[in-house]
Amino acid sequence: MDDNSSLLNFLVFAAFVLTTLIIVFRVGRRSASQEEFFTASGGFSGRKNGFALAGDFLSAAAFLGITGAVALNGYDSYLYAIGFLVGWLVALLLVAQRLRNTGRLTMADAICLRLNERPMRVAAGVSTLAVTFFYLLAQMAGAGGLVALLLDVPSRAGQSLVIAGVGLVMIVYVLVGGMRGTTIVQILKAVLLLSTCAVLAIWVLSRFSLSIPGMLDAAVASAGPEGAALLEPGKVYGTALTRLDFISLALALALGTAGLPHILMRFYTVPDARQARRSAAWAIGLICLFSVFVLVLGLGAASIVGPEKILGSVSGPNSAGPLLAFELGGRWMLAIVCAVAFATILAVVAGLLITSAASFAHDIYERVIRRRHQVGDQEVVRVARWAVVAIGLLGIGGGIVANGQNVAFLVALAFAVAASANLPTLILTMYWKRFTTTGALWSMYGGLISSVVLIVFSPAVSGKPINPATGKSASMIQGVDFHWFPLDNPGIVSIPLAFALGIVASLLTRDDKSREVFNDLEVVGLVGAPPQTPFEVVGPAAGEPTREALAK
Amino acid sequence: MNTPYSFDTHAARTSPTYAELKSRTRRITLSLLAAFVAIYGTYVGTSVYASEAVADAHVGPLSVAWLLTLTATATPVVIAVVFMRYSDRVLQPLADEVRALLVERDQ
Repeated sequence: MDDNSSLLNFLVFAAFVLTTLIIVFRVGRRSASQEEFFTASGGFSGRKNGFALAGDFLSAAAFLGITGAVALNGYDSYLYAIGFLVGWLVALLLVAQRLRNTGRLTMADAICLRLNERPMRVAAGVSTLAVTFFYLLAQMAGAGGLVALLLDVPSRAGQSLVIAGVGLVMIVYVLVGGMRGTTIVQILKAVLLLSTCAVLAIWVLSRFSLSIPGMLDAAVASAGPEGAALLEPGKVYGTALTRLDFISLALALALGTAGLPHILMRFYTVPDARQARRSAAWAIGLICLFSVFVLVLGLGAASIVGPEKILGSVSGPNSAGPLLAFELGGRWMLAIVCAVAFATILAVVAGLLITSAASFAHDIYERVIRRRHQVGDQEVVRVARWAVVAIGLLGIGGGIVANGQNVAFLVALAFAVAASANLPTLILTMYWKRFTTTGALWSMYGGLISSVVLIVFSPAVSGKPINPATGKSASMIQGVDFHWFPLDNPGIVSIPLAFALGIVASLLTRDDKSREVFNDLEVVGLVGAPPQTPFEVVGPAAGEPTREALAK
Repeated sequence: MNTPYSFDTHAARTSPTYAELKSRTRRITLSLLAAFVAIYGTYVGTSVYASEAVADAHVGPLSVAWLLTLTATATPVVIAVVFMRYSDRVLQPLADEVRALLVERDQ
């Protein structure tokens, strides 16, 4: 890439940032309540929210990473991509409606109605912060690699500067726009990402006179002697261990989506259960469309760009999409794809920031640290704004340190933790009358700790064999080997473990409140609360005398 | 009595409409979930553990592997649309009826 094309990439991206900043400033409300700041007062329609969900979910890793993976590994990588889609069915069928009907601002709201509030807020807050931080780190570190590729900034200092810049823009988005601004950025990004992918996909097919078999033949031909393997299963998942690892990953993806706090929180930005269902359904449609586009783009890159050129470029597989855009539409198309990739990171990170800030300010600060005081709405929002700054800066720092690392495992970790720590408790709270606070605590902490420990001692972190081509191990840490867990993905162990812990510990304990409230919760989860009824009693937290007085 | 709500759910909970809503919700959710698990499970299971068999078997010009891929890609959308329509047409009216039975509790 020459200097001019880097400049063009930068200008197109700057135009996107400027446009979104103007929008965010226009919709931002200076004195916002918690409802407004965290959930835009539930004011988005299902369709808009569906676009925002897709914008929140489809990260740069999904766009660049999967396109590249499909270009190199074909069938097996698409198998992986579908994992991201199926998890949404769990969200739609089991979680979306009940969460919308029984919660208010965060994931913990829906859990704490039945269970003992204080320990559950802490547990839910800890796991929310853990999941969002792993996810955030992956996005920020990924931004570094993207900078190297798209803006042609080879020096580490220069990349750090751009990571910091990206982080600061995001902090401003969230501070100024709250959830309303974040949502609009996400909708815009989803529209941009999908339409760019659509244009590229049609462009690719038109190269082969709109004939899919023609494209497939070309992809096989340019992949060399082993080309036919591209279109058949088994290229990546060929050994017993890689197969089991994939099953483990598929489980984490299928159950993790509905446990990701930043996805769950988006179900509060719609007014009712009907719109919550509608938004999940829209998200499924859009993500399905995206999967198909990515398949075409990946195979298109395999046939038009070719695997040698992809592997030979600065950032390897991730460059397949941008290289394809350059081959098709030259500099301008490349600039647009680069800007879209950046927009993707911006929108995802903004969503993560507001989710973690909401969890800290609402779950931890308002309901645990200051539970004995009447904390005003404005104070919580002020704390949340500070949390946005703090977590944003932490993300920038972490992203600079982790820049250049293999970060795919961070995303896998976020999904595995979400599926192990959050989903079992969420499902058991919504559907199992016998569930107790002790069970929930064992399940949450057990799932969180087991998934993190297993990944620390997995080959993703240490001990993968050294690749002769690069002279480096594919593990995160080079030169040492302390792994004893054979799989990269902990899901197949930690998810069943978290369910088992929750069930066994519940059967061994009694929780009368949980049992009694379940009756109410089941009705409200299915039909919603009557209008003008607060979702939960405002004021001192559970266990305080006021609540009992109110309930009499 | 423990409850987070200011209204009483007893009348709603014991109404026949609620029983119908509950059983219909359970039926549609479980059957769609089962369909999805069966299709996705077959897709992943055969692609990973029977890769040669599904790559070699053909239906017309397509191998079974790609046929499963296309099915697994389209299924979530079909399931989502079916669930959304069923919920809007059948479940939502029942839910509205039950919600009307939630009455404010005397303070």
